[in-house]
Amino acid sequence: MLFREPQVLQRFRAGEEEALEAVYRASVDYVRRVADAVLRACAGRGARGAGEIAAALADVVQEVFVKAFAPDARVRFDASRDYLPYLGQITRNVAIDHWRQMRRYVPEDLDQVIERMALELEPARDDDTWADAETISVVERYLASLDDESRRIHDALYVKGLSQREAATVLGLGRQVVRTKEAKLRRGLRREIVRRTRAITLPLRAMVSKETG
Amino acid sequence: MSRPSDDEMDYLLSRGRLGGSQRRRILDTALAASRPRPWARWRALLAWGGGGVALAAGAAVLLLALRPKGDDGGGGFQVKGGNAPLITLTCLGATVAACPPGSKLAFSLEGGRDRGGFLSAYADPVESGQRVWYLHGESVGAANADFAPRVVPRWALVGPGQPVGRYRVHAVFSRRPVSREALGSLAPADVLARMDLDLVVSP
Repeated sequence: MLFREPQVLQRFRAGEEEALEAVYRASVDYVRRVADAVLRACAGRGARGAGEIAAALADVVQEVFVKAFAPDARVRFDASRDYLPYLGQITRNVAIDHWRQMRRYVPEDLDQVIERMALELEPARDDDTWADAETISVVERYLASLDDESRRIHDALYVKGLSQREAATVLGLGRQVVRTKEAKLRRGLRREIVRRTRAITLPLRAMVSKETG
Repeated sequence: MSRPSDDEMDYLLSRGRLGGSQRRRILDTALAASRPRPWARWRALLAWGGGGVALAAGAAVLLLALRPKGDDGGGGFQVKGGNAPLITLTCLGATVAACPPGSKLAFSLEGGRDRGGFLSAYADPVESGQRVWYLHGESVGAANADFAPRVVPRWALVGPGQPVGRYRVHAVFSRRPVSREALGSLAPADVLARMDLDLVVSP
């Protein structure tokens, strides 16, 4: 129960940022897991689906909290209910709407998927299916190749989930340094992903042009 | 292959979770959306012919250049007895005064008493260059009784190919869907709101 203390609920409804932030921190991983599960259900298990989830996940989670923290939604929330399932319901709706906008269709059995999810209070835990095996291997190789400082920054930002400011404080670095390193981490991985894709597609293209030429 | 976005890279770097910067950005945006906004006051000011700049932490909203009716061949900014919604633009994760390529642009409508309509938006470079279309005929639902913001569900993207510089974003909220060509010559009765907003695409 997020709102065990009546004062917390009161402060949340009043829109006190500290209370909102506490609720956010307590629930963001749950929302992310529900969003991930719904998007996976919509996408299937293909490589393209994994890419689409990667592109959509943060947008969906953001939309959920924008809706849930809006003044009218805070007041409307029935405090006799638990907050996480309430957020889970918003997440399911937002994720499905998002998918419809992206792809204009949803799987036929989606209602059954949603019904099944409604029965599971806790969505699936994180596993190693966050991307296809080839992509995971590229990411892991890239992370293993990082120097010590980059690795510490990666750990702070992407494993512990700290903000740039928090990471800078913890690591005793300037925020600008963390920001620059973060951009470099993205750039480096992007380069590896693109290189991997070219390595796969170029021989295929050559083969196709040889056969058709 | 299209260039993978920062969000996609963050997803991979965090092994399918959210990166710290994404978490912060989401929190900042949600906190900005949580604040009751004094739109009634803004609307009153605008109705009296004033203008203004509203800045919300983490999500800047810039309202600029209320142009007199008819100076662009269209309806100009429409204020019909305070019934017109305000069109706002947010550069997520940055500000409209410095919005780098790869950023998402969110449009929303504040207030209004309309029954919904269609939002189109495009950007013209202030200096020279090509027009960039962000939205065309995006359906937006009816105004809420409590004046809660109506966020347009579709994001626009500041593409990697969009040159750095100052842009004037023209947004038109119309009663019916219209072609791009017809936007500038819409009859005033078909325009629910029209707004010109400044956007700076930064390196």
